[in-house]
Amino acid sequence: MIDTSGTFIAGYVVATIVYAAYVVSLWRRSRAVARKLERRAK
Amino acid sequence: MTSVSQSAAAASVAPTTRPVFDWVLGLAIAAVAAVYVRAIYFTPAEALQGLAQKIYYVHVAAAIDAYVAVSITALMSLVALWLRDQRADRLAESSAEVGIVFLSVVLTTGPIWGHKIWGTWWAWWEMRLTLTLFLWFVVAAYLVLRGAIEDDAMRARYSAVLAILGALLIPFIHLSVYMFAARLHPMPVVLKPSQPSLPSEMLTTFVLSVCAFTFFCAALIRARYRYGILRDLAASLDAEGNAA
Repeated sequence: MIDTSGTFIAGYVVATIVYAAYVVSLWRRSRAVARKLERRAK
Repeated sequence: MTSVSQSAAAASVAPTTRPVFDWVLGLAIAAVAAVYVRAIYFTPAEALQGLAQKIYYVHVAAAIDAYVAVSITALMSLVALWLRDQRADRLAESSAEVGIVFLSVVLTTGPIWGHKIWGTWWAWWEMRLTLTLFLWFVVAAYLVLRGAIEDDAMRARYSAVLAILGALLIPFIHLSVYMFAARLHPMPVVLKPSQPSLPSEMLTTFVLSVCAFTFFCAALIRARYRYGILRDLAASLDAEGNAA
């Protein structure tokens, strides 16, 4: 069996980064809109 | 999990909004984490490829869910065109945004895996690679188009046509390994007419990964849809404020 542990780790790390970046992006946008609505409600 | 619409709920807009981040997305993230643990620690490595083969569980699951998300976009675009329903248009947009995330995972994990196993990051003559990249461009164009058109009805109509045409690439991507002799991708080992040819432990992990990532994909679309409601509400309040 060839040693492909680096490839394996890189694949999982990259996939996790892409998903996490999207979740953080959605969270930031949601928070910004919620704040905007909160300001309007005051 | 942060309930981003809690503050908005205090306002008069409460009946129309729901939390963007709630327990459903938390559960979906936990399911994906559990699949990572099973794939990494409790699934045997393939005899020839070694540990790199385990990328299969994130790469193929992401590809299946990208197909699902882009198909939902096309289907909801048809509904939006037919019924002129804003909810269908919003669901199409949400699904497209999540779809491009899953396509990005496919297009990054694939070359990482391929570089070690095929000896190359990319091959333009490999139709599954190239068509998947084209699908990424179409979905990106769909999202850019939506951002560029201000009129709601025109945005829904133009983007729906692009989504429906773009989704026609999906069957070609899946069937490309049958249609083109020159290819690097193997023939399907699970999604084929005959019995799956994966060992049972690997097959179980694969099925679990597809279920977990599909749940994650659905939870993201749901969260993005709820964000769309909030965003549209803020935009309509802005418009009312400007008009007053």
